[in-house]
Amino acid sequence: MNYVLLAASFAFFAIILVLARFVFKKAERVLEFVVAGLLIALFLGRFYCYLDVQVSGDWLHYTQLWKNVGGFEGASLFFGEMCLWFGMGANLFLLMRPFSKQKSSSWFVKFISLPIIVVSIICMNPMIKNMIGEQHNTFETMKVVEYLLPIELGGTLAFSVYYFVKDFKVRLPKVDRLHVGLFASLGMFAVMPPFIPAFFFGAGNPNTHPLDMVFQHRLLIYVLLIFVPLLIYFLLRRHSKDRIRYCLIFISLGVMFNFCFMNKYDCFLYPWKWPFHLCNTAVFVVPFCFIFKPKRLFYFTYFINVFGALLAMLMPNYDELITIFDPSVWQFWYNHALAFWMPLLGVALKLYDRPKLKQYFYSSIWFLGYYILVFVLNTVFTAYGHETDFFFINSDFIADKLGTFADKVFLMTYEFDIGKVHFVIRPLYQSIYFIVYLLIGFGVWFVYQLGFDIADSHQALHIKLKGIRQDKIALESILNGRSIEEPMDKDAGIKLELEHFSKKYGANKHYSVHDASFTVEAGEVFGFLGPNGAGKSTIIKSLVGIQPITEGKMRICGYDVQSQPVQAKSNIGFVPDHYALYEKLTGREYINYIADIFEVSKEDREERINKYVKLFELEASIDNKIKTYSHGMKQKITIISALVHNPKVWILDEPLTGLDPTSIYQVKQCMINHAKEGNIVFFSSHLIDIVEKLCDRVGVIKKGEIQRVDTVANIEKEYGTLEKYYLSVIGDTVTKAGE
Amino acid sequence: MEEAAKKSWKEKLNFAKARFKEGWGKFKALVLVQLKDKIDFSWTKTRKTRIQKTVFAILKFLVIALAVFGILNIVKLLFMIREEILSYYLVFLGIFVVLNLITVTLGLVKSLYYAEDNKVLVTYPVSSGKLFLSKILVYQIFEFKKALDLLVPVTVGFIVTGFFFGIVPIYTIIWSLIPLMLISVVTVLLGALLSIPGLFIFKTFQRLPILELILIVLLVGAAVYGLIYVITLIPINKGDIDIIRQWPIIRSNINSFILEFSKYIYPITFAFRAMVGETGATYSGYKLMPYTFGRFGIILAIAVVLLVIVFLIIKPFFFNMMTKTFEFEKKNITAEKHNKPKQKYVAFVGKELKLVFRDFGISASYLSVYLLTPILLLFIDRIFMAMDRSSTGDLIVFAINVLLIVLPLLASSTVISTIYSREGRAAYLKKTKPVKPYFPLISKLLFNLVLCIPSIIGCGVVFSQFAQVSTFDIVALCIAVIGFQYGHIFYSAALDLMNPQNELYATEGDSISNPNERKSTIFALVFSAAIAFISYVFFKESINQTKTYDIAFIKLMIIGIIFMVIMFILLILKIKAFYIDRQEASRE
Repeated sequence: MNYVLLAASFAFFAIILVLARFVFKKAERVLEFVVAGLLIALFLGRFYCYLDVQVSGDWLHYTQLWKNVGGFEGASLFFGEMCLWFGMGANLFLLMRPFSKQKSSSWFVKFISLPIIVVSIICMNPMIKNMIGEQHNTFETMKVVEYLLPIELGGTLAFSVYYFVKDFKVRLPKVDRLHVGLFASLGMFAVMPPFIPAFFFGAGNPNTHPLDMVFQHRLLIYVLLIFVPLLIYFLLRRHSKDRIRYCLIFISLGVMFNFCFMNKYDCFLYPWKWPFHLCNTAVFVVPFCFIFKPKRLFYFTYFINVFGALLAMLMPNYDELITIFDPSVWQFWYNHALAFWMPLLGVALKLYDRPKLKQYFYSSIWFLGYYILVFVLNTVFTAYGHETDFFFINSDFIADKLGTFADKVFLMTYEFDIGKVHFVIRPLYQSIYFIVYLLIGFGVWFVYQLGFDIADSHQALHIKLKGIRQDKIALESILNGRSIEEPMDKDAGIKLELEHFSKKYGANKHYSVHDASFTVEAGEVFGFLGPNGAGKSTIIKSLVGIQPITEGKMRICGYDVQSQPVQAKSNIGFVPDHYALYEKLTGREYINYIADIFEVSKEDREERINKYVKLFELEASIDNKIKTYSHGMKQKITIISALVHNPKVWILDEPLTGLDPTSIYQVKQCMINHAKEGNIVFFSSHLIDIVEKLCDRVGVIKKGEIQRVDTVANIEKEYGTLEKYYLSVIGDTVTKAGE
Repeated sequence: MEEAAKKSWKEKLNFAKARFKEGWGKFKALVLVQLKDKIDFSWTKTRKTRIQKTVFAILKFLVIALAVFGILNIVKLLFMIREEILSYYLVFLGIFVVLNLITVTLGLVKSLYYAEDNKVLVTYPVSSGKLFLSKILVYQIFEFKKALDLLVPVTVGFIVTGFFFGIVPIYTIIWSLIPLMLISVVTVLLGALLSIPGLFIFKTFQRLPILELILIVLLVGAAVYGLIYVITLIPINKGDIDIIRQWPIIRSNINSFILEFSKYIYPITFAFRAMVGETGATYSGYKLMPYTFGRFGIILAIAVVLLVIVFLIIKPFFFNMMTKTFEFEKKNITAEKHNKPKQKYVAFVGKELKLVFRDFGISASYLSVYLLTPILLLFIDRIFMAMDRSSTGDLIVFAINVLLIVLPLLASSTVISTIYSREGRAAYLKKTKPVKPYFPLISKLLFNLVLCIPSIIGCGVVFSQFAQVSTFDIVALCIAVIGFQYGHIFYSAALDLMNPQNELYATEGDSISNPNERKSTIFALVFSAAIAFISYVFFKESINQTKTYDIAFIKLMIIGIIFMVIMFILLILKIKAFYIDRQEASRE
């Protein structure tokens, strides 16, 4: 009989769908909606009757029925219940298909709904047995179930086959298939009817109750509050917004349907049972927000529901003696988990923008409306004899938890009569309740901001590390199997190279230096000229590794400054524009500290330190603390520390500023001698005369652009003096020699 | 002739007027330039920020005053007092003024003689007298601002409470603030006077740092001795301390102490009377009498006299003393030093240790926290030991122990959130050296990482004396606390790394308000409280389920280790990813 019904139903729906597909093509979509509507009605009706047995009846009777029966029958009951559960998910995927253009929606129907429906048809009889139990004669509704299920299965089979054919060519990329497959598995838990755990595992240990942070309570918190949302987040975060939305709608609808079934639709039938408890409201508001995208309503649930749900999960209000697999426990946790993390996921997965303070204020207005509504409903329904306590503002449930003071405030009532009806309100308690919750909402905004900051910093870290890994791979590819200790350009020798170097600071749109390229060879003293702010120090700071390179390359002795920084820096000695020393060390301690870092041998450092200390006449003060030194002495210490490892490239940023004439002469001699030994001396200065006399070549920079790199001799030949050239470039005041 | 004399007199007057105007203009400019440099006035630019700031200030004021009002009502119930409530204020005022005098003296030594802006101010074409007075006035404005933050709302809270108790009339609330401001002025002037010996001591310490070390050792030693002495006075038998039963005696002793104490602070009592008035035989409470205004007049006279003395005594020396602090006294070292090579990683550590030990201020503050934490724990635990506790009481005491160990240690490591920035521009140079950045950066943390361990072990030993737990549990607790402490150190270091303040430290010295330090402090407070709460839950569950605390300590240890490892990994990753970017030198 059941299979006859199934076949008839299949035929009926198949005919409609075939006609829609091939005859009434223009009305195809409308007919799809009609079929979906019929199936939804069947589905809702079947569950209504089903729950009459499982919930309104003695549900404990059905716990582990499969185990108690045992054998083949037990196994068939087991699979029958599995089909009841998974069938819920299969139906939801199928019934969402007409409303969605998502590719994954087709995939779900083809690979999740259709196979489950086929298996359900095979297990139809055990499914019916599971639904109506052994006492079916006592319930009138059971017969209805017995007929509704085959009809529903016939219809869903026809509908899923229809989409299988229609979407046959729809394909998903491999990675997406994996993700949506994993999501489908997870989604099955979202649609799990709350009595399923009890059916499979029994009521749970009668001595432990999931309250007061006991192990079971914490386990539920860890899983439903932390683990599941994180899992969903990581599964969906790389997918398109539409797909994310589709998946979140699936979860929220699953929970909403279960909520309605478990309440036997009472939540619609009687106004005093309407879902106006905050978290019950969320069960309907959340899917509504994901389907219709109303921003302000979403931020209401985001600011107001989430915290309420969190509190509820930390202090659940179910019966104290309840066991963990009781359906009401699961319903409670599903509702509240949904209210807690769905709004958070909506923002985390970027379906909604991160709210600003403005959104908190809008949500406060929504909250005010909600509060007035529940206040009025509570007062009116209670006055008419239906004890109503939406949002717990009409009972001492919350006041009891807060102590005697709150209880006293709660008892301060104002009573009045309208006609023969007696009304009671609690003005002070209910006002304080509203204000406190509003303030908590503000606190929630603060916590969210904190969360966003943490999330941003971790994302930035992730992106940066990814970039570093890519750079490393690129370096390895360039080195082509050679060690990282070897120069990128193995034939470079002693050389300083800039290749299309550009630099931007922070979020600045303008380049401080743009497309600078030049090379300095061994044995050269290279002077770098330019007005203040032209970009000299920017180039130098990037060369020595103080700041990162935005674009282009810099190489020291063949080592890339960005990707081989340690090797590049080993060849550099640096004198900064502002000495910055550890003032509590002595001069000798500081120089030795630098020598240690550059691993200078004892003999070499003895020789060099003694030589330079004598040259700069620091014998009397080298063992005093640096804080007692004059500006010139500090500059000398910086110079010695830059030379203590005899660097191949000596870089100086305006080194002569503040030195006395003798010291200037000594430093100049040092520079000449260092270059004569085959090293590079690269320095910036504003002292054109000194640059002219000291340097072989110069570079001039203006507003971040290199103007010219040439020998001093060539420039003098063209302009007479370096100063004239400099002024003509920088100030446009002097023309070429002879003009 | 007469006309000429008249003209000359008029000219003289005009000349004096012009000079005064010019002098006043310069003085005003001098005060404003210092104020603008030190106070952020950006909030005055827009109406929105002005309203926000004002509303926030008023709210803050009201919250403090209401809190005082609430606390005093509880005190009234606990100590069964009414009129004596203002004696409590007198004690508060006495302690506040003494502590404030010390702070003001130290602050003025720094502000008058060691301020960074002195180098600029001395170059302005103003007399040293004006410069001196401007500095005092700026400091006084700061003191008023500080008073508005705490002293004034607390006073209002007390006086309002007094009004509700029927001790003082309503107008006292307004009047009392006028002598209070005068007390602030007298404190600053006294501080200015004391700044001369203060400077002398400061300079002596600079010249002979060993003296500073000896003083610190003596002070810490005295504190330790005092604490241990007090600890030995605490009874050791369970039940000896029963606050409920012994409350009438305790209450009576505290009230007697408060009344007795007020007799020994006569100058403060005098000022207090100028604020709230006199008591009399024919009425209860305090009333403003003519004699009250006489007291006020005397304080005003004292302030004027002090101002004159300060001006006469300090002004002649001020310029000389201020400019002398720019100079350093060189100490020539005759012994020949050698250049000993060290392994480069040892060199980093060696340098850091030298820097820390040569800064007695920093090392002493660390050492005192590390030393005092176990002693404080011992003190509290001895009190708990002498109390008759229920099993829940034991659990609470355990959780408080965890809090008392974790909180001071974490609070001491908030300074790590400034550790790299404090190097100023020297930090940039570190990046030019051929080493992976982890070594120099982590080596800066070594001092704290190592030195907190003996303190934590000490706390573990103290805890073991009190709690009947196994050695394993104590070891687990110590490992857990090390984990929390290390985790917080790594977290604070990462804060500094991600939001460096080097340029500010390089230009403004140590006196900047560092946002990282604030974040680190809040984290320390919240984290310590959370750990104490979690500990309580773990202890409760563990004792209920297994009759021992082992599971709780193991869980704490695991949390500590996980926290430390996560924070360490995050720090290393952040160094790898952001060190060069975030610690970018300021633009030329």
